[in-house]
Amino acid sequence: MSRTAKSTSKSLRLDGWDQVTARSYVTFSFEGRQMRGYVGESIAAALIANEVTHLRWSPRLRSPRGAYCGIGLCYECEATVDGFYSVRTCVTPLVEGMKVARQWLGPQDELEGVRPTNGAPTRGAM
Amino acid sequence: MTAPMKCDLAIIGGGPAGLAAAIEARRSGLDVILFDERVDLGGQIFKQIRKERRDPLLAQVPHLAGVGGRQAKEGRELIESVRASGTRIFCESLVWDLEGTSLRCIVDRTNVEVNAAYVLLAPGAYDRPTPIPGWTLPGVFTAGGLQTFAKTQGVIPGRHLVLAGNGPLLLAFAAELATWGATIEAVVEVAAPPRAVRLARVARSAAADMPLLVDGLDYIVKLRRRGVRYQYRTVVTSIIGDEHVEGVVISRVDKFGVIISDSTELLEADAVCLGYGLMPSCELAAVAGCALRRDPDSGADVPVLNEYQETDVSGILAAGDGVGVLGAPSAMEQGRIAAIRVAEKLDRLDMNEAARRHAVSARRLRAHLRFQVAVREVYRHRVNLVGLATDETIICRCEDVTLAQLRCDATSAGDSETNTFRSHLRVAMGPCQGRNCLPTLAGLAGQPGFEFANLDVPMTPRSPVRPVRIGDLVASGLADVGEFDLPIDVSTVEEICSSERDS
Repeated sequence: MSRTAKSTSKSLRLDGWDQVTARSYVTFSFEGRQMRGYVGESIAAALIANEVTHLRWSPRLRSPRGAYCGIGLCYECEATVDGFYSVRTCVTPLVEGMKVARQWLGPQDELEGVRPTNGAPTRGAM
Repeated sequence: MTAPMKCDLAIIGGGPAGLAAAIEARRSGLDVILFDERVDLGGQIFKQIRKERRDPLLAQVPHLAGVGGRQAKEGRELIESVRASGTRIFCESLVWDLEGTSLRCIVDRTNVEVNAAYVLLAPGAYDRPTPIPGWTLPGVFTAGGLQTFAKTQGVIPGRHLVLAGNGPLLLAFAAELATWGATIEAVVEVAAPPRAVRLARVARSAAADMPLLVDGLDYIVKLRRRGVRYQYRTVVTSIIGDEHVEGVVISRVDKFGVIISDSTELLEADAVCLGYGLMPSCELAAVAGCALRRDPDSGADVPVLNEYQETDVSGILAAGDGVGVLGAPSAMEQGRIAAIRVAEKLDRLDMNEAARRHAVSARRLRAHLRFQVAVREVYRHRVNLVGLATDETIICRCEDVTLAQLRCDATSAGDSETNTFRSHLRVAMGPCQGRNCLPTLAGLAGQPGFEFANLDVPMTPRSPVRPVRIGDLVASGLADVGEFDLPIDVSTVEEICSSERDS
């Protein structure tokens, strides 16, 4: 991801949050990558802190989506968690050993040659 | 199926209105059940850091002691009094249907029916969706969303933030984030710099809301001290990126609300917050058949209420930001007024005492209202925000419907209305149930291509008002697996939406 390369200097956590959570770490994975989060925080928050924001592809245009409303209303942060589809990661607490995966761009898309688009102008278009 | 629960008053929503109503109702000895969707009470404004984290937090990390600030503290006291009041509290519950004063609710993956004598709807509000090019990119958040991540999860989702929006909440949030160490590239406010005469009016009407006014001044000082760029009469016109936000284009607007074309500027950013005001959540009132009116401030279809917060459906009352966004102090008074009315109707409160308490709350409510109106005047703007969407902009995020598709449908059908967009394009049929597209759809009235569409009629409401799992309904005996053609494993998380039943 372009984002990780650019800036991993500063943590996205609030300073002092380590103390707040009494360093209660758990490990989980996203797309097979091992990550660390705090027990009981939302999956989306743990992923953001690990620089992951793109959680699914939208159903028709296959545009990248991630957490948006943060309060469980918009269903944009849905991802596959431990084999269950469409889990709202912003309201689901993180548990040790969770396996999270991006959702909906599957083998069928590859067969049909579906290319993701996002409807957003790219930097080149500016 | 378990027998229905019974109670005098069922309150839906544990924010300021619901909490204040619960306390007032318990004062008169009513049997009260309080439902809230979140893990903790408090709603969005009083939301708390999880308790097990809060106490070490306050003791050890002084610069975070202000997380949530005065309102979190006020909320904590309120929540604690509700806990001590004998109210039956169901957190993490989802009320998905309301018929008369009987409601259906998922609690702990089981459907529960509640027959209440009275129902108070206090569902609160959510961030107004603002479709602009690129608003679906990961890294774009609503103001409430970004705030939730920062406040309750300790994560600031970017190293270069741009906050855009309208109103005092944007100012408050920017100041909070700056205090916690976030790097804010710019705060862009669509309204013009406040005129002295309007500020004077705010100050004059602030008698009942001094703490809010003091907070507001404090926010301005904090932002100034940190040198945060705070720019009036500016909007975000598009968000740029491939798989994540990489930049934000901002433009100035003139005094007529028209974008000044040569004022465009590209800012580097990795997270954007869009906070153009709040929308009342009215879906339960609509599904219960309450008469609705279009709220001129938000454009939402809110229930029509009398002075006692009663809707036209017998036994259903409504209070708080879910009936018009006026902020927490007003919401609490409305909650009290509703609870007083219910206690009086159930003969648990003497008529004279009820009238006395009602008068006290009504007077306070009027004072808060004066302040809110004055503040609203300060932030009034003339920008046509819907006009920021381009043809390719996704309007319905769930079903990927673009503005061009809507316009094409409107021009070819000729007599479009909200419901025909739904049946033709699946607008509002996805899991968010229209929360992120219906406000835009209402705002499209009169826009180019939509001149002949009748967008004044609200979409026909359907239950469930939120997605519920088929498995939960089947397990509760409410749905029969035989109704479905496909074999369904009730342990999977297949969701049923009202929309699927329509089609």
